[in-house]
Amino acid sequence: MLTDNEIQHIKKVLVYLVGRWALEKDNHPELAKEIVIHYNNLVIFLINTGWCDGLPLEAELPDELMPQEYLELLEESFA
Amino acid sequence: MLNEKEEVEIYVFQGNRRLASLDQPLIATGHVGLSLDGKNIYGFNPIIHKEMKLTEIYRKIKMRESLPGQVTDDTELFEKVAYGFYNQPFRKELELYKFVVPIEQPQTYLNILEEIKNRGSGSLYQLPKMDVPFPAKTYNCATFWGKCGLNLPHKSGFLEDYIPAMLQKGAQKVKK
Repeated sequence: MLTDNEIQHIKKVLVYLVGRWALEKDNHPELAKEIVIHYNNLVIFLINTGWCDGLPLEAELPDELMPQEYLELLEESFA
Repeated sequence: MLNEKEEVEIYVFQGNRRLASLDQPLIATGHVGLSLDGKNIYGFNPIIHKEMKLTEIYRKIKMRESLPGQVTDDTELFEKVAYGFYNQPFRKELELYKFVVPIEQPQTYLNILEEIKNRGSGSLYQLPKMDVPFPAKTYNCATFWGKCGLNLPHKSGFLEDYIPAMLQKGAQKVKK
């Protein structure tokens, strides 16, 4: 189980990764793909620690690039 | 003589998509608002028509597309966040913060009034990309009031930067 502070640090990294993905997606698609992999690994890590909250939109990739595990959390929200 | 106010209040909360119902996208994005009088809080956000699908709007926002923007009176939204209206068990509560920003130039106050009066007309909404400036006439809720000359707590447009910067400068948590 992570502390709030540790989770906060990870969320900040997710925001920056998404910001970098947005910057690279058109001109450097290979780099953008790599960022998506790192991003997904980090979100799955967070979920595997027991975290089951939501992210702000600035910390999310488009849904088709988000890990399935996170999309399943969203589906539970207002089902 | 024009009424020259010496400070404004900035309100902000970070978003959480798991707390956002389909009719309240600003809970997913998080939001920044500005108050001149401590009562009404105005924010800049994308124009969302009723016929638009929210999932498509989210997609456009996350793809960093520019959308027509508007300034709206978001007082009720911020009040509800302060009261914990959107919070749910076992999820991190939305936290509302208030920060008082001095107005250094009288023209800044007039510019803010003008934007509220014109509802932000002509400005585009977009989420930021990393390390690059916003395109011309394009802002998000965190950067919009900077166009009026207001000294923003942080200029990147990421709330994840903005809120810690506010806290470092003395922002207070608001809870009702």
